[in-house]
Amino acid sequence: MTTIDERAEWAVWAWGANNCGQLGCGHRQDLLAPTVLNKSGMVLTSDLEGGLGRCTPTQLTGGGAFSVLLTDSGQVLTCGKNDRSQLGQGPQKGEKSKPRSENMIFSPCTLLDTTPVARVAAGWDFVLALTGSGSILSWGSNSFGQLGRACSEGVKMDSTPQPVICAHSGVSKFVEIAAGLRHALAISECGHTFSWGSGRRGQLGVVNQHGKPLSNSPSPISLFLTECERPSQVVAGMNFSGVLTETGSVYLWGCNKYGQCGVMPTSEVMLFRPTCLKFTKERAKSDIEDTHSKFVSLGAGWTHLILRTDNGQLYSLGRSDLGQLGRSSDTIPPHIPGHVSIKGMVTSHVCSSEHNLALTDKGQVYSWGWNEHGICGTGNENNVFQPQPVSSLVDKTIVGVGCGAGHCFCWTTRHV
Amino acid sequence: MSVYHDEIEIEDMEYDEDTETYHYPCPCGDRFEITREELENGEDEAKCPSCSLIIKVIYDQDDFMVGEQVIAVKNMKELELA
Repeated sequence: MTTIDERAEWAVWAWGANNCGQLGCGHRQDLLAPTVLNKSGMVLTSDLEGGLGRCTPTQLTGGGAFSVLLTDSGQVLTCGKNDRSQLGQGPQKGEKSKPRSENMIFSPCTLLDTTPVARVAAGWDFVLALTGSGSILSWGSNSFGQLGRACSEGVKMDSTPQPVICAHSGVSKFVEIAAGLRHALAISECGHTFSWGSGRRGQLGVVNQHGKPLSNSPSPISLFLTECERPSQVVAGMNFSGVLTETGSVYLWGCNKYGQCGVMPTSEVMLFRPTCLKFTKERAKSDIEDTHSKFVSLGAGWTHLILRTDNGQLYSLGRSDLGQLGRSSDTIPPHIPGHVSIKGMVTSHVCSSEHNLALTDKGQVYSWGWNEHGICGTGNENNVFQPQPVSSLVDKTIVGVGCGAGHCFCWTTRHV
Repeated sequence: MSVYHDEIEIEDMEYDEDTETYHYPCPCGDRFEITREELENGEDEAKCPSCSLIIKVIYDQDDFMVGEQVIAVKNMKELELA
């Protein structure tokens, strides 16, 4: 066993819910404030000797009580809950339902060692990995067809990463992936958008011959967006989905119970098909001189959506009761995108289930939303209704942020 | 505002046969849980063992009484036969 900080040129902080050791710190106690993993005993197996020490994280994400770390060498490490084989580390002996101490630290998915991964997406209890060659590997729960492929007969989970099977003609490579609670989305190199998994709330964006939402698809199904716009990003919330196009249009569909699809919930509780988000600049810019030109990235919480413009401003819509939207002071209805006030330009942002992290061009981390388990990193559990800098990180220059359902990570490439 | 974090239909919950428990994802990463027995008794609050959030389970209690009714009818028939 080798501790990371003997060789590492980077540091990772973790905080929030930790009921299955998903923070990777070797125990199961919640962390109410960001805690450096390297210095608090995060250990890795010797398999990483000469590997991770020289690599930096490019992505840290997670689902329900588990986490996935991707390094710039394309290596995947996982920790936390493994009851549905979501750690992707092959069959593990013993009781699956109980948290295991060896899963409370990040360990490499050795089954992926020969396959460099470019991006990962974590659903509730399953994972998608986009490889450098453009295929999608999946592992974990397949109870709702969310793996996009078959498992062994009678088994609804798989601990071994295997490729998603797409029967659509002409589709050989994928460029984007997203994983929701029980469904998944992907964009092919040729510009098609695909969905699979559960569709009970319309989140697949496809209707059956009776005009009702397709309730389930065990393999990728092509959905019609628009002929003239090329999709650039997909997002998946709890039961809703979204696509961002290269021209900055946003299409949303699925559950609209809280207005998360951009439509007043009292008029539509579910959108069966991708629907273009109406964005009226004048209405949204209540408190800023915005030079908004177009949206360039999206993030989906369970029931809310965050949109980022090319000048680093955030907008939010959807569920608001726990502070998810970070705009308690405005009077804009929750289903209409409203500006989220953050000092500086936001360069990246992530959503957990009911909370958010944003990273500015100055390396500052802001958090807001639900704060039970200390997910906002404030040191207490009071919900945060306006974005606040995470106080214990203000003297750091953070380069990346990531979230699982109820837990957070951020990292820097420098020594601390 | 409702005390429930959400209202979830029983059809959307997953069932663990070993523990006879229905469960549904909780935002904290753990799961809301309610046992079959609790549902039979008419309870409709699924709780998360790790946090304060509670969901209301939407279900028809009659669906969970079927087992007992079948037994009851069976007993009746046995009585008649006796």
